[in-house]
Amino acid sequence: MNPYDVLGVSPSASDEEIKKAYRALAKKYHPDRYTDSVLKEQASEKIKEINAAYTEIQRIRSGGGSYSSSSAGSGYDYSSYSNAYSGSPKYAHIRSRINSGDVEGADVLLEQMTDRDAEWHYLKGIIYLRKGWMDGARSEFSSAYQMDPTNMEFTRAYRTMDQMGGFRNFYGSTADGCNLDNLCLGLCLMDLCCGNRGCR
Amino acid sequence: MFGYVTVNRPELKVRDLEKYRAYYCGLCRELGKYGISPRLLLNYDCNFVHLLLSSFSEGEETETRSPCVIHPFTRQTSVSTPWTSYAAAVNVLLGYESIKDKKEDGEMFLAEVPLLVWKKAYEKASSVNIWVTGVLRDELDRQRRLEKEETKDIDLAADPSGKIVRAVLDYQGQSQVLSELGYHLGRWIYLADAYEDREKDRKKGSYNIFNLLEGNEEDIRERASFNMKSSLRKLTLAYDLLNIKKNREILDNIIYEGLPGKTEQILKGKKKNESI
Repeated sequence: MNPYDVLGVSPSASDEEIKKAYRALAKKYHPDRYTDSVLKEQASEKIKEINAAYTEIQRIRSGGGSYSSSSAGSGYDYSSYSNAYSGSPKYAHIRSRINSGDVEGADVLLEQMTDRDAEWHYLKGIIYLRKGWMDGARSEFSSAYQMDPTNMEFTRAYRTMDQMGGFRNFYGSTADGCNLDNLCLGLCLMDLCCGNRGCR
Repeated sequence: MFGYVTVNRPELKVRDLEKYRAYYCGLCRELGKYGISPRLLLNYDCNFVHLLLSSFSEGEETETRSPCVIHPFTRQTSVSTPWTSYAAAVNVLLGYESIKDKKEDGEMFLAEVPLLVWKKAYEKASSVNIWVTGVLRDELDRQRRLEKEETKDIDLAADPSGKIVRAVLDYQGQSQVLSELGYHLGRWIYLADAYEDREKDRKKGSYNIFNLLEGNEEDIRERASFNMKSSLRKLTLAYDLLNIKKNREILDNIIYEGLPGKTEQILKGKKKNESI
């Protein structure tokens, strides 16, 4: 696809306009916005497309020579997180099921467990979140947080849900609401959704 | 039960509003082929389906200008696309199911149309997509069962509606993005409708999830707000990933302004009858 079309700009656009379009799209598909979404892979594909298009335009404009791709897009490359594992080993098999997309299977295993500690409620919340059952997700994250308020995972999950339904504006693009704290909060929840990663 | 997914008119350019109307008009004309007055059927939600599915490819819009049953003295522009007949079929299927419910509720005005005519229309619409028809029938049956059981679980109560709209949009079961958009749109519609009707249902003694929750009026409003807004957020994220080829201004208006505006309006308890 034509890189200008990807960024939604005309080939005659100024460098400044292109940069602006690139930044707007990078924000729109920012991993921070898609942390708790089942569509985060699709969003990450979009980011890659946008990065490639921007790099390509810069290459064309610099006279067709080879352009180092490290400057433009790499700021939005989030593929290199640490793989630190958090959570109790007794839930490892459930986390890995959630990870592989087998939410139903994870739920069955979880229901068989009788010791319902904070992490149990947390994982139940993740399963609800995957199904789009937001009310249940919030309630389970709230239980997890109340049972163990010192756990960063549970605290962040709980707070993220709290923000989601508040009267704050979540509709449009995230625009400027992306400070470091938000970012970390978002990344953590995403990491947890996709399993054994944390940002502690 | 339907009609929540619509544009925020004041923010829409005249040209886009006309286009939106033309799609509505095109859907209405198609409904005319089913032998039931489109006035009893036509709704905005199905026009959104019409508009959205038509917008994944360029071109393919056929415009006609002619008077119609509802506006016999003016010439209306109507648009038809390869998706018009599908959107109309979905509209007929939902209309038929809703007349069944209304009859049970004792609202007989729709029963003026002989049942045989409805049945014929339903059969014709069923053949357009057998899978979607099946999901729709099964999920509405499940919804009726859940209501009979008086479930107090918001997620469960809204689940059939989510699955219906999911099937309608992701009719081939192949797009995770459309599936997510459909599920949360259906969920949102269910919650919006239930929250808006809670007084009416209380008086009639009908099932309404928001009349069964614990807590005071403000607690329940917060519950409604959280659930509607979180679904709105999810469907917006899905919408942003779609590859829209045309009518973007209208679709953006519905998603970014129409739905949030409707949400606020419903949470504030304002009734507003808008027509286009």
